[in-house]
Amino acid sequence: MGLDVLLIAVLALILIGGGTYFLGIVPRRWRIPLDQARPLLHSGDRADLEQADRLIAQALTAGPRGRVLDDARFAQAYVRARLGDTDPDQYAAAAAGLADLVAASGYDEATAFLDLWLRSRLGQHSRVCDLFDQEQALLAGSGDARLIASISFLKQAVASWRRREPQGALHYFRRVRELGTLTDEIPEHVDDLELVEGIQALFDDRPADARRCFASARSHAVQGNKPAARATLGLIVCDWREGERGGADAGVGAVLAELERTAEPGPDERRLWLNAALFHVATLLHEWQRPELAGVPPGRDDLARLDERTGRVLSAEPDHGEALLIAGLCRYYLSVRHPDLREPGVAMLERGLGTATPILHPEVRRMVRFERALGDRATGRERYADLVDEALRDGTVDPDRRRQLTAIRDDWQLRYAPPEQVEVGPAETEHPSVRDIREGNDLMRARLRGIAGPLLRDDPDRAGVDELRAGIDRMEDANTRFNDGVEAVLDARQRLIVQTGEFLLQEEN
Amino acid sequence: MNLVPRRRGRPDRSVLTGHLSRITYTPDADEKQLFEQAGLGRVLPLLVGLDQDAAFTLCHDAARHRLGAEPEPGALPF
Repeated sequence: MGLDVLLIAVLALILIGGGTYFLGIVPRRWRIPLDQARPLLHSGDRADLEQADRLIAQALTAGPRGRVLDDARFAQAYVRARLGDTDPDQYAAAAAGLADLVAASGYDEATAFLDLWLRSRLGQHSRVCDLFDQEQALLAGSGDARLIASISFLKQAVASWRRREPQGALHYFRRVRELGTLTDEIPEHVDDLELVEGIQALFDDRPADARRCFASARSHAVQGNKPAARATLGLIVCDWREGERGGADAGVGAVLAELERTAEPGPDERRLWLNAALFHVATLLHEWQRPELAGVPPGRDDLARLDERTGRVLSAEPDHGEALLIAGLCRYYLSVRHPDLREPGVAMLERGLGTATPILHPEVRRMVRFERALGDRATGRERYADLVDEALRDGTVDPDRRRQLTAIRDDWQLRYAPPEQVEVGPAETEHPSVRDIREGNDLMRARLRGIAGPLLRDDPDRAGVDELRAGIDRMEDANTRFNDGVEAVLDARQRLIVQTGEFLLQEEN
Repeated sequence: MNLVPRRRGRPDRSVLTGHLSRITYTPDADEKQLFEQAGLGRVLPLLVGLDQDAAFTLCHDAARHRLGAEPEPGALPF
């Protein structure tokens, strides 16, 4: 009996002691550090978070179980996630710890969100997409979770696009649209897969695939009573690239008419319209080259139509380089027949050279420079007055020539210039050197081009041009004879030097 | 909302996740350019080969065809 009581007392003591140890002392090993860590979890200070991480690790080493273990694991993953913002290696550590928690206890809203957040930070966008789909019930109610998922869907779309998988990209863009977050980031023109694939086929040089895609897109649009302009234009582009250009002008015209019926065009519609309008300029110039029009200069009607088409582009974008190039260059080329087109043509090209999206063609720069250097008819007359003035300043000119030049000068003063502009300075009496005379011809020819050029480019057959050309030829012939004469004189002198030496040496011998 | 019933002294998980830094969308540097190829409006000139060189040649050839001679508006007789 006494032994029984003693045994019971010992057992009771063991139970009480064990209970005290296991229920009181052992839990203190994790409870104390966890209690100390808890307020630190809300801190924005890195040192506090690091301290919390150490305390939680200490608690976990003590072997908590059940909910305490779950909470400690969550807190550890959370604190490491926050430390990851300055030390990205912590993201992976946090994700690994969270995976242990999820394996043991499954997801709740917070663990699913934390996992989503961590996968996003780790750039595991495929994992984010899968997790969001798999845990829709826990995640779809959170705006932040939808944002993170949208970001990963967008990233997946871009990655698919880079792999030239438009179908995959469009799938992910649709997911972004479903979530209704970040929809502004979806490129405007990726709605229609067939169009996107058609364009990609053209870039990949698969014309048959491109044509099939555009034809199918067009028939779907027509059946669904939707705009078919893009698909129609795609088919015209296919034809154009394959050299079938006969129907392009009418086709692009019809597409433009359809686009102009769009009530509120977005930036992409406006861009499409603008480039289709530019294409319509090119199709017109292509029409100009029909065989039956060879040698038939464009009439005013043709020019008015070209004006209308280039004007349409320029009214939308006044600095459009290509439109200014075509409008200006056609005017400039056709000024051979219509001189009044020259100045507006050159002015357009000149403007095009200086715009934000400038004309870069070197030939255009040369043309404008030439035209501006040549100047107008008034510049030509000023240059002539300068020429006469310079001739009069030459003191070596004989009296008869001087009289003639003076008469011209007086006549010009009366006709064109106020007297002070043709005032003759003091005569220069220094004779021109042989070199001056030899090289003077090129200079004279260049000056005559500057004087007569502004008149002749508009009227190349002007009366008197043949006489001018003959006069230049006479000057050239005279110069050749002069050069020959100078050479003969120099040769004779040289020979005399040699002869004289021989003459002297002969005496010594 | 936290599905796990809160006990005194236990952390509210949803409060903690609220402290996480906000994730924002940063497009790849070339993203805009990447998708430009998708829009017919953007790539039409490229697809029909209408750059400045082609425009220059087109004007020149059209003028030559219609004038029946090389268009040389800057040519002078001497």
